[in-house]
Amino acid sequence: MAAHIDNAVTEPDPNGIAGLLPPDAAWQDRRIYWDEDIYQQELERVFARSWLFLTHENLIPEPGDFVTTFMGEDRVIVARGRDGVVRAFLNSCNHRGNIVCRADSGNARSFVCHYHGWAYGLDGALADVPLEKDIYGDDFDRGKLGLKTVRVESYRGFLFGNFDASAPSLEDYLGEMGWYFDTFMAVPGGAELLGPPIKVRVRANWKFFAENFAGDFYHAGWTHAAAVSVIGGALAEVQGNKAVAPGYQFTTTFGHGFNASPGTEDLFPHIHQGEIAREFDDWMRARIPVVRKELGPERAEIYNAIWDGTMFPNTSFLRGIDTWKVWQPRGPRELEIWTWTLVEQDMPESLKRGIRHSNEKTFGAAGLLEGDDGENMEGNTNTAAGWVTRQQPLNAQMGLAREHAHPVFPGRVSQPADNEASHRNLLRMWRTMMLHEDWDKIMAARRAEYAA
Amino acid sequence: MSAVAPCLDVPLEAYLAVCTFLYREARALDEERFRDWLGMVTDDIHYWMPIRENRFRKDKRPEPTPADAASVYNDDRTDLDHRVQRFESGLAWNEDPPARVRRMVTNIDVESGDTPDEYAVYSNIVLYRNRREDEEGWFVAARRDRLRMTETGLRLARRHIVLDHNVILDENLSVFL
Repeated sequence: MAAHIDNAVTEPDPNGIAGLLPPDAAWQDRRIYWDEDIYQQELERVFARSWLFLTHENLIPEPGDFVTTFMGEDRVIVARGRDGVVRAFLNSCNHRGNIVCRADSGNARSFVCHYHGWAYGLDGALADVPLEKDIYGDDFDRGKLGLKTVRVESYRGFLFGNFDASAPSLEDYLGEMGWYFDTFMAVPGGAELLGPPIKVRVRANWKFFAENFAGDFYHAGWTHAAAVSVIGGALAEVQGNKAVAPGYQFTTTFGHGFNASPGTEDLFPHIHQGEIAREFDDWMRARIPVVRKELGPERAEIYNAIWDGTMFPNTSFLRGIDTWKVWQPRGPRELEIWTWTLVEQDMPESLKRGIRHSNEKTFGAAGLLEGDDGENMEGNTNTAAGWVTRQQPLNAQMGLAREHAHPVFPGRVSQPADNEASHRNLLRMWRTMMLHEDWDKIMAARRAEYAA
Repeated sequence: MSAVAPCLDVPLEAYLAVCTFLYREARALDEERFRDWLGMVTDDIHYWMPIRENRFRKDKRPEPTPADAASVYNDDRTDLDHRVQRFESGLAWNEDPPARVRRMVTNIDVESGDTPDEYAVYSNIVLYRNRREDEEGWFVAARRDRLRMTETGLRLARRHIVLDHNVILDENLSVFL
C-alpha cells in the first residue's frame, strides 16, 4: 500500500505511523490495533499526555475517600484530602515499586506499602518510613520520595487526570466538546455517575471500542438486532438495518465526537422499559423546556436524543441508555471495560435506580447489547494475527468529505447519524499525537487540519 | 438413622427434591432449554448478581443491597424473559454457532425457609464455557436461593449469586448461574 507521508511531520517516526493511516484516516493499517511497539508508543504519546477519566466527585465525597484506577496501564490512586481537594498520584511505591493500595475504593488516612511499610499521605507525599532515623543517613530525603502526582481537573464534577504538565487545560482539551457535554452536565443539578464500575476483560484492542462509541450508529441495527428486537423503543426502527438512523454526527478539534439521534415528544429516545420508561418520559417532558430555556433550542433538540460518543482517547458514553465507560488498555490485544451509570443529579432516586438497572441490563457485564460487541471487537483484533491479513487495510470512508460547519453547533456536523466522520476524527487525533512530541504542535496541527 | 437425621434441617425427601431441582435446572440451562428454565422460576423471582469490589477488611460500609449495588444481574421475571427472547430471536450472532456450557452444582445445603412453603438453599456453582475454537471462560459462585413449594412443585423464587470475580475475566457474563 502507498505510504502517505505527511509533509508537515519532520519528527522521528520510528514505527512509521505516518504511513499506517492517511491524514484523513479513511483507512487504517491493521498494525495500529495489533503491534506491541506501536502500543508502547501509544502509552507514552497518547495515554501519558491526554486527559483520562478518573472518577466523579460524588463517588469520593468525604475527606479520605479514595478510588484506585488506571491511566493507560499506570495504576493511580485518586483521593480526597483533609482539605477537601481531590488529588491523584501513582499507586506504586518509590522504594521497590510495589502497589501501595490494593482496594478498589474506601476511606483511608494513608496508603501503606506491604513490603516495608512506607506510608504515603492522601496527597501522595511520603509521610512515614519505618526506622528511618536508624537505618537511613542524612542524605535520605522523604520530601523527594513522594508518589508522582497527576494533574487533576474537573469538568462539572467529572474528574480527569493528566500526567503531562505541558498539556492544555481540561477545558481547552475538551474544546467544542464542553459545549456539548453541557447539554446534560450544565442542566440544573448537573450530571453524576453511579458506581462502582463493573469491569470486564475483553481480548481486543481498545481503539475498536473507542471508535465504535465515537460514532458507529451503523452497527446498532445489525450487531444488536436481537437485543433491539426484544427491547423495542427508539432503536427498534433501525433493527435489521431497515432504516438509516436520523440525526447528526458531531466532531470536535481534539478528537472527541458523538452521534445524536433525536427523538420526538411522542417517542423519547431511550431504551428504558416498563415503569422506568414512563418515569424517564415524564422526566424528559418536564426537563426539555428547562434545557431549551437555559441552553437554547439546538441543545434542547440533542438533549432529547440518544447519544453515543467518545471523549478522546478512551472515555465513552451513551445517553438514553445511560452508560459511561472507560476502555482501559491491557496491551494491544486486550482491554478492560469499566462501566458506570450516568444520571442527572436532580432525578428522583427511583429513576436513578431504574436507569442503573436499565444500563446494567443492556450495557453491563451481562448486557443484552454489550455481549454483542465484545466478540466483534475480538474478531477485528485477532484476525490480524495472520501476516497476509494484517497487510489488508481497514476501511472507514463512510461520509468522507461530508462534514461541514454549522451556524450554532460548534465543531463539524455530518448527516445522517450513520457516518464514520467521528470515528476518523478520533483516529486523526491519535495520529497527530503519535507523530508530534509537544502539545503546542499537536494543537496547532489539529487546528490547522480542522480549519482546512 | 437416628444418629444422622439431626444433621438434616428438612426431611430427607425435601433435601433430595431440592438437589434434583437444582440439577434439573442446570441441565435445562446447559441444554439451552431456556423456556423450560423460566418455567422453573416464580413470577416474583428476583435474580441478583452484584459485582464484588475489593474492599479492605476494616471498611465499615454496609454490604451493597439490590437497591444500591452495581450488578451484573438485578432481574425480575420480565428481565429474565427479555434475555431468553434475545436467545430465541435467531439474531444473537455471538450465540451462533452455540457455545459449549457446563454447570457443576455442589455443596448443596438446605434449611427451612422464612415461611413453611419455602426452603433456604445454599449451593456452589462452577460454570465452564467453551466458545469458538479455543475461547474458555470459568465462572465460580456461591448461590443463596429461596425455593418455594407450589402446587406444581418446587420453583426458584430468589437467587443471590455471590460471584468470585472482581474483574469479569471473559468477554461477557451472558450465562445464567
